[in-house]
Amino acid sequence: MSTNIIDFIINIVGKENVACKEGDLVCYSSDLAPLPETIIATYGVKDPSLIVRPKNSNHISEIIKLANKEKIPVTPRGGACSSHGGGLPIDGGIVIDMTSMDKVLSIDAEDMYVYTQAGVTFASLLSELSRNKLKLGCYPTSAPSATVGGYISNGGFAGIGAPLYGPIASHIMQLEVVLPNGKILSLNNPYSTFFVGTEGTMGVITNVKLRVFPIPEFFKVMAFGFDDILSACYGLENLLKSQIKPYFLSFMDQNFLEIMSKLGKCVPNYAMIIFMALEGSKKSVEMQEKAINKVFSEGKQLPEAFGMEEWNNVHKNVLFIKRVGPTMVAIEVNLAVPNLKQAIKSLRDLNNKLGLNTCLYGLLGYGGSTLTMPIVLTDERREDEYFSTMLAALKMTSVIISIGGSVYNIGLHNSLFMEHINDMKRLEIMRTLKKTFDPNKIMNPGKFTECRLAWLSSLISPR
Amino acid sequence: MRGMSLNEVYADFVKILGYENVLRGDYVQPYSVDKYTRSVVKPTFILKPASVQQLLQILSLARKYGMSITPRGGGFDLAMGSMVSDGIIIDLTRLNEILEVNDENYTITVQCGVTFEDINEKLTLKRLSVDLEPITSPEATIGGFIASHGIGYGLLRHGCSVLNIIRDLEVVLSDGTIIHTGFKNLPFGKAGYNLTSLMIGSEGLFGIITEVTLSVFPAPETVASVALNFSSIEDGLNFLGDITKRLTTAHSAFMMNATFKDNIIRNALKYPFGEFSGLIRLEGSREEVEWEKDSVENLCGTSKNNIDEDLWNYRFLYHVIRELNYPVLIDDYIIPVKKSAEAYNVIREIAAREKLNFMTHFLYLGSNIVLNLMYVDDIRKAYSLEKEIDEAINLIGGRPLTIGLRRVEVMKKTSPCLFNLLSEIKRVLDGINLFCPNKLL
Repeated sequence: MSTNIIDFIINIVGKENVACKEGDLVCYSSDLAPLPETIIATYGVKDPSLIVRPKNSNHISEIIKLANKEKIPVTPRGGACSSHGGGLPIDGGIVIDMTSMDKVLSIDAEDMYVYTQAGVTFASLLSELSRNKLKLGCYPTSAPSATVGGYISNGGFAGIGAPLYGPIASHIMQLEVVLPNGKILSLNNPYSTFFVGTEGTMGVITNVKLRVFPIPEFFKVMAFGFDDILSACYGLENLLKSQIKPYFLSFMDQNFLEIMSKLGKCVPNYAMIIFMALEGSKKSVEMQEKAINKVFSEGKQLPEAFGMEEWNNVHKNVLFIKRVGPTMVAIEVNLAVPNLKQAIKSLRDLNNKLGLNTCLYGLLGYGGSTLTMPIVLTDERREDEYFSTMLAALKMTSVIISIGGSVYNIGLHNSLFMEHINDMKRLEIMRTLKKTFDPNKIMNPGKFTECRLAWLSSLISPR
Repeated sequence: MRGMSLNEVYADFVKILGYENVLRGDYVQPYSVDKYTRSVVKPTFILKPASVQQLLQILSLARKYGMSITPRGGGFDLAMGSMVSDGIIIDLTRLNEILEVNDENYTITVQCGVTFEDINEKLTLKRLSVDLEPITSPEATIGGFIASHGIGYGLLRHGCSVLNIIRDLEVVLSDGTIIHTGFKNLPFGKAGYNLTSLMIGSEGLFGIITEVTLSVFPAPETVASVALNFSSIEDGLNFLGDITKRLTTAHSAFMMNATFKDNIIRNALKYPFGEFSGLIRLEGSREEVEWEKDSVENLCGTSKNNIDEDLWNYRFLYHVIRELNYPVLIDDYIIPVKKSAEAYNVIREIAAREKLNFMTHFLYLGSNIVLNLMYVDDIRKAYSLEKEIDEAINLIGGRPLTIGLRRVEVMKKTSPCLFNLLSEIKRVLDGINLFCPNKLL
């Protein structure tokens, strides 16, 4: 990148907020799931040329205007908690590190909203809110490092609170976006919703006004162990029918539990465990508890200590098992509860055929949706093994799509599936939208509607 | 008309739809006003297709003849979104088939012209429910509701957003392409850009919604209402706002106010309530609903006097007024809860100055309130005040809920960036500018 451009950017944000030394840059070319060198090479992923830490929307607007003029790729990045390469600057260029925009601008306890910069992590936003006896309706399990803007950009339909309060899209009162042409736009509902889940390809989310909620008087955890997966799945279906909305619900299979126990955790041995957190008034929680006992009568209620342990580690559980890997290939798919049985069976069949050992972790979303994560542990340093695992993961995603599921986010890896999920007309419209908003293709290029991995297609047929 | 006479065009449409489904001349009169008697505009034809096939044939002819198209559902939109000064109005109410109720995946799929009344009736038979009713009227169509960013009773059950229950929309674009925006079997299926969200509040600009798939839920075990009289608007808004946050079975909470300079309308309505009345509707398991109902009533204490639950039956109040043949003019705004009393006071001052009869209806929607303002009787005077009230509410921090035909010019000036954004989306989805051409491009 020419020194002119770098100087121009330094002029906008100040010297201390620009980094272009190799050591700094390399940190920004991976996310939660690091890729082996050869794959990075085959994907054509480049290191960024410049990291910018903006302080406000005007900074971002100026940078994007410049990038348009100079045709430089711009990739916004939050906490980089995704494992699908959505935040990787695969064409190099500028990475906008949003974590520098971490100010909570105002909290209104009367009208129940918080106005915040999008780069704040959920953990620090939640701690500010709790001082006002308030909380968020929905946030990711990766709250310690995930940013508000990153979660919204990735769709944010599953997480803590989502089954009860709805996905984050329905809590957004106002969204400020810097469009790919550099214009700053403040959007209300329903227009704001379009930018939810666009993964940085349609601009940068800079400020967000979110609804907040009072901290309820009562909280309770519950967990049930099931001797077979089928009865756990039926339990979840019955939960939907009962109209009980837990505050949080996760499920994990035997393999997942075994790894936990290998790592020294004290976990009971079941084919599947369903964990829940409930909240509300004391009376309401009591009644939810009673109804849930009926719904999950096929399972065995686990001691409260196990539930508390699970809740205390809710932000760490998935990352915890990564230690065994040390690399994790996580597949995040979106499945409706009634399809869960079939999905688990199909995944098991595929894994048997491939001789893979997958563990399963999942979260309940709103309205009977789930974020289901089959996880394969591997080591990115053993490249052959990694590559075959990665192909297997893509095959699993393909299987899930064939039975009516979808991907949780698209990013780099799942852009491969855009043609499976969408018919040509829908895809054409999305591509035209992207072209219209971002004619110079500078915003997070090579992702989403633009697939660079077509060559992988022939390798991942589930058969 | 590209060289064709109006008669020839008429004959072509009749060939597709039959005489009774092509209206012109004096017969277009009912379509030149919406349900709330706003100003008079005159479409050239009203066409009433009964199938998507017929709709596609109409679009093809309209493209050929260069005529514009404005889709219309039940006509309950509040800002002239479904009106047009010339061109074609497509009345979609004959696309009224309930296509599927799926009690395994918990969905209902209906054509766009199906009314909420029909949906709820059908689901009740199967012990299911969508838990939603438009605040305008149970006769509003589902397609119109979504296209006009409809607000409804029951949204509190759905995280305050209709997006949380829409799974898929079938949309016909102006070039005749049919797309599905989502997944029937997946509550939040991500497929790339959220095309469903583009159709919400699109007011017919981008395409015609022809089919809707919604999430449905098991019918609640029981419902209950608590109706209360308050001494002032502030008192009521505070009480309802506070309590709604804490209830887990809250289905809807609203407040109504009727300020009439005389009691003629009040008596005609048999309006049995005080000046400031509120209602909380609860829904859920019997035990929980009863417990929460008791706790609401305990909290009211003696100062709030409980009134008959019939207030629930007056939730479509302006519908009731219309049926009495009183002229009504309605506007809808979305306002932060804290500012609602201020908005009310501003409206009251303006109305008092002009000696206007008006009613207000406040529906709780999370941190906002949807304020419906109904002018009764002297509509001509009310027209002349709309702009002043729009501006006053804007100053307070509220905004109109729908744009319609009426507010396009205002929007161009106040939010040029949003206007450009919508225009760009319009160019992608309706590049030939066939739908509602006088609104955006």
